[in-house]
Amino acid sequence: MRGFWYIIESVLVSLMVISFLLFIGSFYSGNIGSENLAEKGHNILQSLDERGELRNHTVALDNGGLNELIPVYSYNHTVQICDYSGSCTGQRPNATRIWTASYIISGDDRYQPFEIRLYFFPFDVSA
Amino acid sequence: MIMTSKPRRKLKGQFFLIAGLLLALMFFAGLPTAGTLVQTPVAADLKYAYENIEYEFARALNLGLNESDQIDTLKNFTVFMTNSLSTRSIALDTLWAVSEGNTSSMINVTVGNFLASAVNVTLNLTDAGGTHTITYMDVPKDSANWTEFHSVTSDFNLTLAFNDDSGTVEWERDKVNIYALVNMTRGETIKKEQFSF
Repeated sequence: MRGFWYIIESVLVSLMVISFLLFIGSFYSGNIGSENLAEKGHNILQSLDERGELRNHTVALDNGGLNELIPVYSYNHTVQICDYSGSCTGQRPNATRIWTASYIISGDDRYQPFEIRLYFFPFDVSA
Repeated sequence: MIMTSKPRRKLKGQFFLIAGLLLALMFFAGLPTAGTLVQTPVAADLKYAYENIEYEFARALNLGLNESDQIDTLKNFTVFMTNSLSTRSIALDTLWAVSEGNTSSMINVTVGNFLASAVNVTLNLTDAGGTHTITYMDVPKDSANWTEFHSVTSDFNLTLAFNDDSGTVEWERDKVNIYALVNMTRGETIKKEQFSF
């Protein structure tokens, strides 16, 4: 019976130690607040649009090319381009923590609406 | 000289520690099965969505003008915007009006209802010659009604009223204008705005 309590005790201690390490680790992994990431994502897409680099990649369904233009290095990111019918080019990452920014355009030189979704997720997860 | 040596401690808890550590690791390894959480802050998201709407509605109207299909383009884009925002749990309700001059003194005013249900809309056009009032009864959701106004002076005021809401804009006759009342809801957060170009 004493062995059972030893196990419970060591489980609790391990949980505390691992939680503490994860908590400390989150400060060193360049973690940005979710509010900042959403704002950052929106501002990045908006500035790409203002520089004339967003719409041509979008209507060409070049999600990879668009992703290369995202200047974020402390987080992994992918771009998804969705059309009027709801079908999307690009993958949504299979991660537990995702921050998403979305930008809707009506077209480039002709009417052709698309939604651009920019996903941020931690480096330890593949897209 | 008396030599003393510390009694050697017997290791006896290491297996319990290893078992505890393994159980704790199993607990953390099981966490991802709780499902994906897409994190988007509510208030900030509504602000960015509104900025997007304000900028892109005017652009959609211009692209439609290039294809001589401005109203259908704007209707189509409003539905697209509504559907896209709904995937982010944002409900978009909007009522817009577009005016375009046809000949020297005639304009077309189109009112699009993209609210949650049919609505009665009153349109007041006031210029130097007086006020013209048009009421559209039960404008169905996702549809548009239009009216031609004759002998309109170069500047005029347009008032759009529906339910308990109304708004007035000052427009020029010889250009294409758009006015929109926008209501966005996500959970208990509501953002109500209007814009005119």
